[in-house]
Amino acid sequence: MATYATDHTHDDAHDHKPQGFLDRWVFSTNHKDIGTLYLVFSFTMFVIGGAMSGVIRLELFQPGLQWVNPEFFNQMTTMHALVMIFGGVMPAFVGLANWMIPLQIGAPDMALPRMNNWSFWLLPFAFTLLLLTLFIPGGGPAGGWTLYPPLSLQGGYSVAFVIFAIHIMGISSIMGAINIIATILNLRAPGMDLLKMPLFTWTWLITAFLLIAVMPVLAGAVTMLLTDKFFATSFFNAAGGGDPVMFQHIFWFFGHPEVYIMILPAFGIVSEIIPTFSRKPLFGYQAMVYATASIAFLSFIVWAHHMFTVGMPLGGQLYFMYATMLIAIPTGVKVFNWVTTLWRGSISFETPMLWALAFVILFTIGGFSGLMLAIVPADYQYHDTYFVVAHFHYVLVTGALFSIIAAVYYWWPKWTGRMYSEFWGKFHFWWSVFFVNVLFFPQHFLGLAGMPRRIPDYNVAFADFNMISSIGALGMLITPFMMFAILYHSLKKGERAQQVSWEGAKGLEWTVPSPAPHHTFTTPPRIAPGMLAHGDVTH
Amino acid sequence: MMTRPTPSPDAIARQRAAARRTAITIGAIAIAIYVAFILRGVLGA
Repeated sequence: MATYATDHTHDDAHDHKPQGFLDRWVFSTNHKDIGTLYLVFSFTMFVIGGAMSGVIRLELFQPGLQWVNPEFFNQMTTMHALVMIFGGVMPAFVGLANWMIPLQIGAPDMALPRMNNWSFWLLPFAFTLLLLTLFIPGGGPAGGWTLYPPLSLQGGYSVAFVIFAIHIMGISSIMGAINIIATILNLRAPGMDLLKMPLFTWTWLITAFLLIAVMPVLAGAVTMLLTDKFFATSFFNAAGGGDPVMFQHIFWFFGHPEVYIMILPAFGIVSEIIPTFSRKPLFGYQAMVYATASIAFLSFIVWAHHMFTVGMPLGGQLYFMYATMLIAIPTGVKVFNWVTTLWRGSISFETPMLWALAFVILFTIGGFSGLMLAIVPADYQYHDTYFVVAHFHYVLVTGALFSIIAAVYYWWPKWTGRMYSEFWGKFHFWWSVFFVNVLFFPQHFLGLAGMPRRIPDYNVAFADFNMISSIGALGMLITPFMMFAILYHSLKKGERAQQVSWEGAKGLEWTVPSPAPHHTFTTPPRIAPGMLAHGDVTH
Repeated sequence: MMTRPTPSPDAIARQRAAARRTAITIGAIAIAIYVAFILRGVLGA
């Protein structure tokens, strides 16, 4: 099993963790504990956001209005998106970053541990504020997560609360990103050159720069919305000389890089898992790094493909169409390198590998539907239909979420010192992969047939595919509880994990015991040849 | 796992100062972007 690092003389194995609950979890400055807090918070948000999607799919199970009124339906679609994006996916990746980046680069902790604590604890307050808007007069935000004016400004009191909540989330994200950049640039162990870093750390470094560049843009946009609503400014108010389309430009200047904020760390996770279970080094490590950087750069210059139908000049449409299509090139490099890593590998299909392979296949489907949406004349047909809903759920559920689940199954033995049941892990996978396709694949057909998104009722012509989609949603709603049960059982009764829990695993995180002690790398590790996962391998 | 000798207090202090400098620089860039976008809105109006 263990191929190296069996000679560890670990002087970090002491385990001075704080004993009291408050000291350990509320005032914690330890990267592992804060990572755990992020992951638990994210899981809670996935359950809440999932319940909201349950309401949506229940109402759409058949045509007509059965369960909720249209206003509440709109609140559910808006809140589902805000909760899943800002409360589920992003904190999950930050949690993984907190746990793994210091372990992967041989650092004792994050560079700014107190700020790390603050970054996390802002989030529960932001989401309490956001979720409580559902209970105030007028209800929660109902204008869509994009908050387009003038619709979003027609809400009641909730507008102020939502904007405040978004500001708090933004501050949390920016502080988290500052911490990650400061950690990676300053705390790498001697010998851990930038081009020797694991791919997960690399993708997070680039993601953190994206966050620094675009979260302030979102903050600026919603600040201007706030002053339009409550201080009689007219940034986006046409009656006062403002321009509502300008909001869309600013929003998507944030919004498109945001998509990559939610997918680049996923690329990093998959680039860790596939080599491990193929028992081969990652093919084209440097190409992967440069492809990630290229995707990040391109994400800044394609924003208006979200708004082809607002009436922009033909030259603008052509530019944004071609620029968007360029993204397929570095993304293709990545998919090629994953497949080439598998080629002639000694592949085994443990649970994390199944999730990673499903990511490669299903995310690629989402990528292809994205290319279809990039084609201007086609987008005129697809815009604001269920085709778009299908597209971004393939990217975010079978892409981002599947990679998060893969990462949890992959690093769980390192975190807890326990293995989980492979049978139930695989059962979780096959159940999810079946129902997620039942849920989202028919939505492509609904969109192509013209069913608009964000509506509680629809033409009877769309009934069959909606019913199938809702059955898929029912299957998916069970999966978080299934995963919780698998991991809880593992914690209580799981087999003890070895230091190198997977035969082909490489990297500094596998040189510390399982579970990882509370403090690791208090003295920098000496990096031996062959110890790093990818960066010291030349092809 | 072999480890290196414990870094000197000076080296740790230098590392902390560098991390702090990086954080302040990145934070200042974030604030500048926020202000620039609002200013663009104000001046554009």
